[in-house]
Amino acid sequence: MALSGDLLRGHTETVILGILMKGDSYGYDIGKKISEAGEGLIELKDATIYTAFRRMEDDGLIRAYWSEGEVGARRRYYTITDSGKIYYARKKDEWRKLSAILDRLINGG
Amino acid sequence: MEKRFKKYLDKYFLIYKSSQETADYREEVLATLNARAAECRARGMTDEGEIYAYCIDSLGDFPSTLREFGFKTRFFPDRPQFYLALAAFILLAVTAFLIAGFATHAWSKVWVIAVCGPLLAAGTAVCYEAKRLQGGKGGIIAARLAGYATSFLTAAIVFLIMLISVPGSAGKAWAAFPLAIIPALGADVLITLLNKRKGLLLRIIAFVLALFTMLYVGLAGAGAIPWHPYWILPILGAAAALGVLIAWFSLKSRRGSDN
Repeated sequence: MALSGDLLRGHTETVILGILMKGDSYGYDIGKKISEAGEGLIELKDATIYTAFRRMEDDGLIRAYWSEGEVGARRRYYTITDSGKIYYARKKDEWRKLSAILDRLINGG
Repeated sequence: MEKRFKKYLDKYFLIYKSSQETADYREEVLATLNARAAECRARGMTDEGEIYAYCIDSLGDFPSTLREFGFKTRFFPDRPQFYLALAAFILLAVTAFLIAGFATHAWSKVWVIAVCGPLLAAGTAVCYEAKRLQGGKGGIIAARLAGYATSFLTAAIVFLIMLISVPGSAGKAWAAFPLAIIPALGADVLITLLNKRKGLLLRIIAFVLALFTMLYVGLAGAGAIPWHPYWILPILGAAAALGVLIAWFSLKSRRGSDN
């Protein structure tokens, strides 16, 4: 059963920033990593990823640069900025608190 | 496959002004599509059509993303075919005006043809814009509908002008409507041709048949030419349509044998 991409809405940017925290990456690779981590249940369309990139670039959270890929094709890589790292830390903390609350509410803990 | 991807992207990027930003984004999306196609093949997918469909589907709502990015749109299309088509339209109108004028010597009436030409050319431009702005299949339908609407609107304007400027001309002014079928079908042919859509042959034949038949009905109905012996015009139209059909298939078979 595939989960709706809506579940990620509001968290797409944090998820992408989380991936970029581990190293620079490009659109296709990020999409693939999300898909793999989602165990095939979560899949983001490219349009959603590129819209998020655009928004984050405008907000100064990430920066893009062109580089040769592993097989020689030119790729547009993204790197997280210092503001991006601060934003990510804040969102991660928010998520930790929210997930604990949701867990209590849903599981009745 | 890359060629197909490029064609797909061009279809949507065409409406935006060329800039470093659009070029970067286009290249980025193309790289993603190529990478995904390569992965599909590595996974054992062999049907190229299936791979293409999967890759395009993975893009999601691509046209909406482009709109959301707020790239600047072109005011004028950059394809030379478009301007050639517009010039052809105006030339056709001027030629029709001169032919009708010299044939009937009714210069005070045939000027409407010269007015209709540029009006239709402008209408075609609007149709093209409708297609560009809406994009995709819906855009083509919008362009076609706009083409028909423009032609019949022009006919209605001509009809009203004649009613007002030539008292008692109602019995003849109706001829503007059958004549409007000609540019309407002509615009349809142009839209199909410019956008490389299917059904071009059928549209050309309909246009040729309408050109001769409606010209006959319109001009004879308006009293510009006698009904007899100009009944030969629809017959000539059928012969011309047959000629188009033969030329089309002989060209197709020649291309087939060349390949």
